[in-house]
Amino acid sequence: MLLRTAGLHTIDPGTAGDSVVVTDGHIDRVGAFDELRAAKPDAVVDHRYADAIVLPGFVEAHSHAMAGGIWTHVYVGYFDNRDPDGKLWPGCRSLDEVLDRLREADAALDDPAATLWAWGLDPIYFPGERLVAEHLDRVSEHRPIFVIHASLHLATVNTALMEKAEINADTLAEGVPKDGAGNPIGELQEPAAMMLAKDAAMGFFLSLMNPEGIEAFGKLARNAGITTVVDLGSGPIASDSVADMWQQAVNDDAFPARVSVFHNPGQGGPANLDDVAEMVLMRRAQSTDKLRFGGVKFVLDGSIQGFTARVTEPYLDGKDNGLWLVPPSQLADWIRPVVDAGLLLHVHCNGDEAVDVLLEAFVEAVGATPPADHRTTVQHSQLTRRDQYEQMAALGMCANLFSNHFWYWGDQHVEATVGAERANRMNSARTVLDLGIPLSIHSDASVTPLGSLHVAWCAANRQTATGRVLGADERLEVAEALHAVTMGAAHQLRMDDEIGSITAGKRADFVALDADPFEAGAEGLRDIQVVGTMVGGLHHLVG
Amino acid sequence: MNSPRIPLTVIGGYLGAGKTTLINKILTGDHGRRIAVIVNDFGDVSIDEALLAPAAGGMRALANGCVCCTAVDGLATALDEIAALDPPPEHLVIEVSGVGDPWGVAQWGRTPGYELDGVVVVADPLSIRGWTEDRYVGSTVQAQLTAADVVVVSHADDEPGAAAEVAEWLGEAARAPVLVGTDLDLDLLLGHRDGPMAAPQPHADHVALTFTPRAVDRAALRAWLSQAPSTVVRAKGFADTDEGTLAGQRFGHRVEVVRAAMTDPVMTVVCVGTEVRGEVREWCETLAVGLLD
Repeated sequence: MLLRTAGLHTIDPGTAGDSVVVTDGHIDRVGAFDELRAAKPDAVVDHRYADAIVLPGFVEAHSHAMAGGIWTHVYVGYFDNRDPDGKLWPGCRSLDEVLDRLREADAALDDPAATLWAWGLDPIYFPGERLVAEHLDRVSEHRPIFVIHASLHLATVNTALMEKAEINADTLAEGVPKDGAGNPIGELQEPAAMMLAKDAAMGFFLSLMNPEGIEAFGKLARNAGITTVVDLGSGPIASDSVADMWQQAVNDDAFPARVSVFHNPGQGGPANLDDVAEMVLMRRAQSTDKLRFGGVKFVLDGSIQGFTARVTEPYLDGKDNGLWLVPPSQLADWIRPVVDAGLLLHVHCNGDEAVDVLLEAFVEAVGATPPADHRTTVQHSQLTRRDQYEQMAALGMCANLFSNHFWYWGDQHVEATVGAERANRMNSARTVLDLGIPLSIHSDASVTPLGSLHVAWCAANRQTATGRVLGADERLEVAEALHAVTMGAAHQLRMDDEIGSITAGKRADFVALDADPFEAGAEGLRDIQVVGTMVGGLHHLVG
Repeated sequence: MNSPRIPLTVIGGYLGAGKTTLINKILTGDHGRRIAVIVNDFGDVSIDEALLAPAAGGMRALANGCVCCTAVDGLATALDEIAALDPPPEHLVIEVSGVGDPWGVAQWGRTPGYELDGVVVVADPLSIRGWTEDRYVGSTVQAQLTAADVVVVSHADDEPGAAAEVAEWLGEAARAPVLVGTDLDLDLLLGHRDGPMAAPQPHADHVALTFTPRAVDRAALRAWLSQAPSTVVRAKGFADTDEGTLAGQRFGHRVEVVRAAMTDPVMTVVCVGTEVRGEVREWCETLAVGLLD
């Protein structure tokens, strides 16, 4: 096949042209159309992207498969979002709009006893307000309603649900706040309290990982132009049934993406890290062209907007420091078997104190001279300081920054979490590049929507929802941002030999755009539409 | 609501605190109780491999009648599986991770079918003070101590001097009763196995007494429980009130009064030492009908 385009951006300095010859799912040759036509007269010319700009398919190195399954439920988030079928769900900008959305969903349900689940509510956008049962009772006094907050640590439920679950004045659980009269207000905080509404809570969490959810995850990736997407720990792949579910879904030609599935030991599977390494090696051997195992993810701390990230300087409101998910003094023992086995290690560190702990433990585990090309990646790395980046550079680590935060929480970081000084140097991509650290940027879907052009826009503009620009000097050029969402991410997944650029010999994974990102410029990146993708030579149309 | 609930105890403490020793004792001890234990997946010291290697389903029955499992699919699932055991265990113990918040985990004791018995936090005499000042985990370890209903100082046989010294310091830091000793009786930590009706048995480290409380109201029962002398580690029982039977419980300093299924009024008090002190007896007499023996 000879794919003719209106323009190629290969993300490979040595390769240029407007057309690509694709053979057996791989890139055979890149060049000018006439030249390729002459060289490959038998190749069938494919004109479908003759008016489109084609890039290597985007690579998302931090997302979660539940981003697909969660769309089983009604979206009530603050920002506009699109479901796997491409339908636009406008953001709910007030609690009234949340209730309106729920009323529509209530009316659309045939079974009057069916539970109504909703997701995406983030109270940080409604300071001074609180969604409680009384509000939800105005949607329905009969149907159980379960609204899970964006953090997934909290749900608001209505009175009908509390009555069904026997959550009442006698309920003792700490995570069930009560009003002055001693009655629960409808918030269920943290898993133990949410599980008091067991049917509703299990109904929600079990809906997140199943074949339909993985299919939806693939559609979301495709619609965003992503041809390789990570599931950074969603289901315990130690389980054969979970691993088989991935194999069945992703190896189907109709599935529109490659998926790299990481294992997070905190979510089940072997308890001993030697056993974890052995299990992941076993899975890695089962990798296919489209489905990859071999990555391990640790989570050290929480989130900044949830005030649970571990920070060296206190939060603005003087709240307690965040929480650890791994005992710091145990971390070296976790790292050693994974790195020794040659597995890829990605570590979630939102706060800078978490990065301190990781750097100390990494040196303790592998020594000051780590194995060559280990590509251990700090995930999120949002508050990482320059001195820490210097160490990361010296240790050969990579950084995958959560640039979408500028748009989604930038204003809150200035006003509520860490203040202007730290907000200005959050996700400091320029510093990362200046120090020669391999860079990628991500969405952490479902935390923010899958969308590499939006992430690139964020890194190139560092603009908040109200128009603030945070740390202008840390902005990326368009070329750098596009590199981060293609080659940069491919490198961190150790797949840069086969994806991430349009280079002869690599897999024929492309994204077709309706405009040229270099002409659109930094400001216009997020307005560019994805027309379609190609994965291993197979076309996938955006839905 | 009326079927018996499984009492739940969480055991917390930082790495090296001695949680595993305590849990090993529960899992292997000749105590005659059917106790289910959910161990932390990534405990710092692995319990005897033969005991712990999780079988399919993550649950393993032990020779002494205990059951051990890891929460492979989350605590909610593990709690379901344990509640479904036939016969059900008499008690559930959950080991909290070294950086876990014991009071947060204790909230699983509010799950239907369970009742929260208490939060036990274990502290190693040689390292606990250092950990509370540690740059990274100081606030985490302090919060664990604050969450404790009782603190157990481990390794007391190896380090008797340090244990005694740190116990005094812990009394301030944790504001909870501090128990020293590696051979603490389970009745002290988990409560009496057959409920409050059981006849008190002689023990080396504690003594119990049982009496019939007079009819009171909720506020009076709560006030009485709140005023326990310092040697009282736990008190648990039922009292008749104008709103029906109430269950009252005190473990460490934490007091709870909740509605209960109708039952005879009876109260059991457990205190440290070899005999019931006068102050405890006087305190009990303010609630008791008739004589105490």
